[in-house]
Amino acid sequence: MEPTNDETPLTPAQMLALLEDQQRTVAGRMASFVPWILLSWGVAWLAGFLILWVDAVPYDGPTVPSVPAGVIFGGLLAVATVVSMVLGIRSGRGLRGTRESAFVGIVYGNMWWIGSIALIVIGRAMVDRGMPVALLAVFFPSAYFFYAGVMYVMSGLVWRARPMCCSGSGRCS
Amino acid sequence: MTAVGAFVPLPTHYLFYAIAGGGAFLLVAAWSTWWVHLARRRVARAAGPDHA
Repeated sequence: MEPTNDETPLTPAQMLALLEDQQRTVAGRMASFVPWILLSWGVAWLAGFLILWVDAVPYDGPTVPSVPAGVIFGGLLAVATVVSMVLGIRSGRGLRGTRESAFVGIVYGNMWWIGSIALIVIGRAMVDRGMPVALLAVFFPSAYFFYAGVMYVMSGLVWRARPMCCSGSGRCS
Repeated sequence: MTAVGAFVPLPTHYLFYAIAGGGAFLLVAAWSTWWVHLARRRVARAAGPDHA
């Protein structure tokens, strides 16, 4: 019995083309959530720092943000974090990752909160050693801005996303 | 931008971080939207006219 067209074995070149096509499809599907994550962080940073600025303008100098401004700022960052987590999980639905990719994702994801807590502790330690409390208004934004930049460069290198590398290196400089 | 922001007088530094930080995120979001669009077009082209 002659094989039908569907059962005709693919040539090596056709198999390679099929493999590359599948890789592009998966990469495109996984990358489609990146703009939405960046948009959520853009809105959170823009609105959050504008609120801190409006809150601090009357003092004209180093000052710690008021509780409502700090809560709103933290809430905006929390919302962006949740959006990132949900979209990140949805992007990987239906795909079987390797142990290596799972390891990278777990380490990267946890480094956000570990590094954030470390920066809070460093700031408090500097205050304990004599730094004026009001200067935390300089330390925290600068430190978090820098740390977010480092993490973005890391994500760009891990997931081969040039926009993330450029954004991160711009922040760090 | 961190190095510049650290020298911006207070409280204007918050405004700097809002524009530099938030603005950069939004710019890169627009860039990555275009990047994803191009990737999808490449996939559609590779799949052939039936899938475009």
